[in-house]
Amino acid sequence: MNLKNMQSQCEISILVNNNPGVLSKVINLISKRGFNLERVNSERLSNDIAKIVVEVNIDNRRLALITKQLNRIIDVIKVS
Amino acid sequence: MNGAQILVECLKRERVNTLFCYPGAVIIPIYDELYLNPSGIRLVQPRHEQWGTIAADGYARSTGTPGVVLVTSGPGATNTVTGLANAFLDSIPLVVISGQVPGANIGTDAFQEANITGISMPITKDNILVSDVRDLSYSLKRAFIIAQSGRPGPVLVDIPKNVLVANSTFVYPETLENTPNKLNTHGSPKQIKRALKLISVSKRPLILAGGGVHFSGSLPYVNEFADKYDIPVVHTLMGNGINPKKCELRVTKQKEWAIRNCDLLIALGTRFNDDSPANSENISTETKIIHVDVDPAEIGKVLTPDVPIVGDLKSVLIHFLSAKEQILIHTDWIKELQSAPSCCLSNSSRTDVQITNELARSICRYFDKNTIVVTDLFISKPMLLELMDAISPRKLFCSSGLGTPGYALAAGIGAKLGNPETEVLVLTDQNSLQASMQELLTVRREEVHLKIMVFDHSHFETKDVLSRSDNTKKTNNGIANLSVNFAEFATALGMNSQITHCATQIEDVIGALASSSEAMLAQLTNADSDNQIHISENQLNTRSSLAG
Repeated sequence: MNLKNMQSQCEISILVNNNPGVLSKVINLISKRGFNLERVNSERLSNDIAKIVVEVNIDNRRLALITKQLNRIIDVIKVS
Repeated sequence: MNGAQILVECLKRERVNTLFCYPGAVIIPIYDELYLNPSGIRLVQPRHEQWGTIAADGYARSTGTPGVVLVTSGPGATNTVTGLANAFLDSIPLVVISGQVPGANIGTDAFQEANITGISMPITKDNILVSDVRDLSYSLKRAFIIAQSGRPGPVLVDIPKNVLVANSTFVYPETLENTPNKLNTHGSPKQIKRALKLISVSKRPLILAGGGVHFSGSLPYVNEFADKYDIPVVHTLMGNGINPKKCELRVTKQKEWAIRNCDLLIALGTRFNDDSPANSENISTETKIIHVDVDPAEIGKVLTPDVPIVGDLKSVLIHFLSAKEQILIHTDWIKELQSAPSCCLSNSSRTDVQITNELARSICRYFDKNTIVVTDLFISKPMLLELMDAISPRKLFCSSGLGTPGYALAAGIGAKLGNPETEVLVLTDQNSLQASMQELLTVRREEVHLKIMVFDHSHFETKDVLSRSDNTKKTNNGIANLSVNFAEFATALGMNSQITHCATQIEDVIGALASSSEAMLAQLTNADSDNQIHISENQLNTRSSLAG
């Protein structure tokens, strides 16, 4: 079995600027790829920063791709 | 100052001199302010916002500065969607400012309300709804920076009417402290070293230059790089104009063969579009790939490179050029390339090749080296690449990412407005021009001296996508191709025009277009085809069945 293509539960933690619409952009990006969002959590850490945590069923290769595309969103600070 | 005044002042600070705008209720305050303070901004109103946005695209491509569009809420904003998607796929800097219903009415399905920030989210680099007038100048500055930095792209700023009439003090940030541009990288030194090592041992290297070369201003560096390391160059539709000093390094007709048979592919500022010779199927698994791009998400998206380099192309090339690596001379490989078979010639019909060659010859003969040629995609992409090489250094623009029919006329308008002293030649065909024909009115009104050449349906046989389907060979398959006498339409508008009922007169037609001192439309028809529609007022009957 190819390790790269094996799907597994993955938790992606996204640190964002607390601007309106940024949650929408993040969720939009993930769901337009067709991944099922198992769990979504969002909390405001301070006045300017929020943390979004999503859990998806995804393989390693596409995880790398989506991480880079999430980083491309202007209001995203860090993806881990 | 009120919001409208702040907006106009921001545009002035950004040195915007052309605004593609279409009026509407919620943006009247902006028009009022522009009337009182023209600020050196020329207002160009298209007949449809889609073509206004595409015109801004042509303007941006030809001047290197962002195209700026102003539309109203509702239909005005939604009409920009195709233009935004087009700019997004081709990475063109655009700033689209859309009016929005007053903040209190947002979400109530008000008259001419549309959630354009939601609608344009996947097709803009960034978009923002300005809910407070105090954020307006910051939002605009941010939009202009994002549109142009790193990998360029379209940005939308949605401004509700109440923000336009509200008052605030004007503060214009010259730079932003936490610049949204996170992509100011210079390429990892370790990767650059690995790349140089691969280059120094490669026997059959090939440079693949894409649009990124132009966006980063690296054209002279790519030329120098190719010359120094003796590497042949292939370019994509977005990356034309590469011309190293050693002419033998320019690979023109053998692109596909070259890509398939090289042992090292150095991809600079390109994204391996599936519709180009550099698609993933045409690249051998044995080939090593160096991929340099400013957008990290592009690296590994289609193909996994052996050496990924994320960084500004210009600085990476400067590193390559200053390295003291041993340089191999690739005479055998270059000789092999020159005698290699030309795939596009074998895939295209003979008439297509003939017409393309004649077109290229005529353009080179009658239009000077600064000419900009804008075309629709009725010519197949391999033929377009040929045309591009043949007429180089003249620029050739097309909607390579989205493939919008009607792109040529609108983008031609933008290109001409951005470069009034340059000749702009628009190549289009019946279907494409029918999509954007109302912009001929704009050509007339703005006195844009465009040269427009209209081909017939049957001129080019190899229409990429449609020709792959067997159904299109049958006559009654539901596709309604109509032929219009555009020359009569142009005459009715007061434009110079001519119509030639002979397929072989391309050179004469191009000559006539070049010698016209004003806008001119020239149409080439093949023969009297069935679905003709006459637009002159003397002939009120339409021939044949419109039911198709």
